[in-house]
Amino acid sequence: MRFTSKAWILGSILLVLLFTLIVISLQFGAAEADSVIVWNIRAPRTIAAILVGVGLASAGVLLQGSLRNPLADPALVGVSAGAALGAVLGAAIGLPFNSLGVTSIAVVTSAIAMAIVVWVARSNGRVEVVTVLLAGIAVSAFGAAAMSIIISMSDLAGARSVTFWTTGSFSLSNWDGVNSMLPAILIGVILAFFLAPSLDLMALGDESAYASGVNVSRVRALALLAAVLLTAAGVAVVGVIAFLGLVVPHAIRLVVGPSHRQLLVLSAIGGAVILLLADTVARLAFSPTEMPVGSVMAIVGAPVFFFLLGRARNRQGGWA
Amino acid sequence: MILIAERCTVRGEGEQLRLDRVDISVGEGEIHAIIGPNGAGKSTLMGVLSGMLKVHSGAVTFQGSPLHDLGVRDLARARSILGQDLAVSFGFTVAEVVAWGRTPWRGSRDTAMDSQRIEHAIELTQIGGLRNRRINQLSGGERKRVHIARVIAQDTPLMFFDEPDSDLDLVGADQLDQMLINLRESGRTLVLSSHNLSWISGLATHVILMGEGKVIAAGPTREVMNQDHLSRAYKKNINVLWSIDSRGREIAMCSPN
Repeated sequence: MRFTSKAWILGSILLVLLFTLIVISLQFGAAEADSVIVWNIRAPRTIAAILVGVGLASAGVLLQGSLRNPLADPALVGVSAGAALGAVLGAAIGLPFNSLGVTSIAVVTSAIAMAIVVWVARSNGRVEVVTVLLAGIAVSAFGAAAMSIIISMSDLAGARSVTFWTTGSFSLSNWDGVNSMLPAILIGVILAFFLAPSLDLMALGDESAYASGVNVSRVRALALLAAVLLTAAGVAVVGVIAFLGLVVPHAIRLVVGPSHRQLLVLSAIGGAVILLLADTVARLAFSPTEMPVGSVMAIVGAPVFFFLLGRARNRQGGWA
Repeated sequence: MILIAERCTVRGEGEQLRLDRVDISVGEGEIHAIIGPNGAGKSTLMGVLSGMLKVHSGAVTFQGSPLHDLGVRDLARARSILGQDLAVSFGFTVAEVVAWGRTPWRGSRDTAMDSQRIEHAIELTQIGGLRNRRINQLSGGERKRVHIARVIAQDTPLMFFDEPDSDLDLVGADQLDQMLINLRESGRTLVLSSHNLSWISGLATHVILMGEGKVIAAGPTREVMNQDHLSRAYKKNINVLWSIDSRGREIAMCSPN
């Protein structure tokens, strides 16, 4: 599986952008850039933005490919809300935020949310495009409600408010946070990379993919697991950021096509670029006041979702 | 015999029999056509013979060993299937889709054998000019040819075609006919299903006539396709009139009255 020349060019452009943004992100802020601020505050925040960007964009690719669903995004299918609930649950039982323990619980609850959504949306061996989103709404609503109840009944609001979880922010991303998300994101990315060629064939539908030698149920289960790891690790530290996993893979597909190896690699880099850009804008645009990065993403992402929704509906000839 | 099914039984929901103690044997290089009215069990039989459906009792053997013991990859090296649902999500190109046929044979990178098989399949189906087009921008007939190229590239001794002539126009159906003849001449064994009885009668060496989950008759085409058998399967009197088609083959005109 070789990369096309278009993919190399796009990849190079994205890497240049990423390094430029890293420099900007480390250099500029409300305070003067001394070594303590850069190393203790801006560096972990920058790395967290990159990791979460890689995670959410890759998770979007995995969800879209394995569910044959162009509208799938970790937040829209309820995986993110499941993770946020788990993180709050972890903190409520006394685990410190930005710890591996909280991340682990987030992974478990996020996996449960994923399983419920897929189970509800299954019909005759396939997973319905729209039902996934509807089930995602229900699971997200449940997750958000349970989370607010836990927060209001404990003293967790002081550490992280409900708004923090629902709009996402890198303001509390320290080195502990980076360390807590690194293992899951690393495993997720490696898993995704090996699943990529099989994900291509999933586009044929389950029966034809199986007939061509793909172990469909195993590939789907592993892809969904990888998506959960990639999403939950980030959400546990920075809260829910929607639409990144939707917008980035679609933009990359427009340029290099849908082949999953290069789509994954480029979406990962693209996700890092977009999220670091969004965080830099959120941080610097009205400095010293900071905007929630999830809201910045949603302002851009929601219109794109409308566009994709219309297109998906036309392709399917409408849905009841 | 490349494929033997013995007393295969499949139950649907509520213990209803979808396939009732079916015996079939398929010899190497033959073309077997599964025909019969809707709901007769054609798709179920196709699923069982191709290893996609498990049997509740009975057994299928491929080249002497149990078909349902094969793993997904070995199964895909033994048989290929052209299904009816040929939609492909996302904008994959024709070249990419045809290359997927090599999946069960692939090591870590393209070998010379892979590219040779892919080129051969593209040539046989005459889709060289479509290579870089996105598959969901093609016409129904072109799309079918791309998928046929994909299953040819899979390079299996046994090939299944589930109603391959549905939604093809006159010229498309004729091209399909020629492709299947070529595949047989290259030594493949073909199993197909169709509702077009006159086409089947000219193409198939053998016919499996199904009715209500049972085999009404199976054997050489000329022996199976007669008024008595067809009338029993379709539960209506079917007149059969044999004539010669443009390729010089005997074909049966079947008309209910």
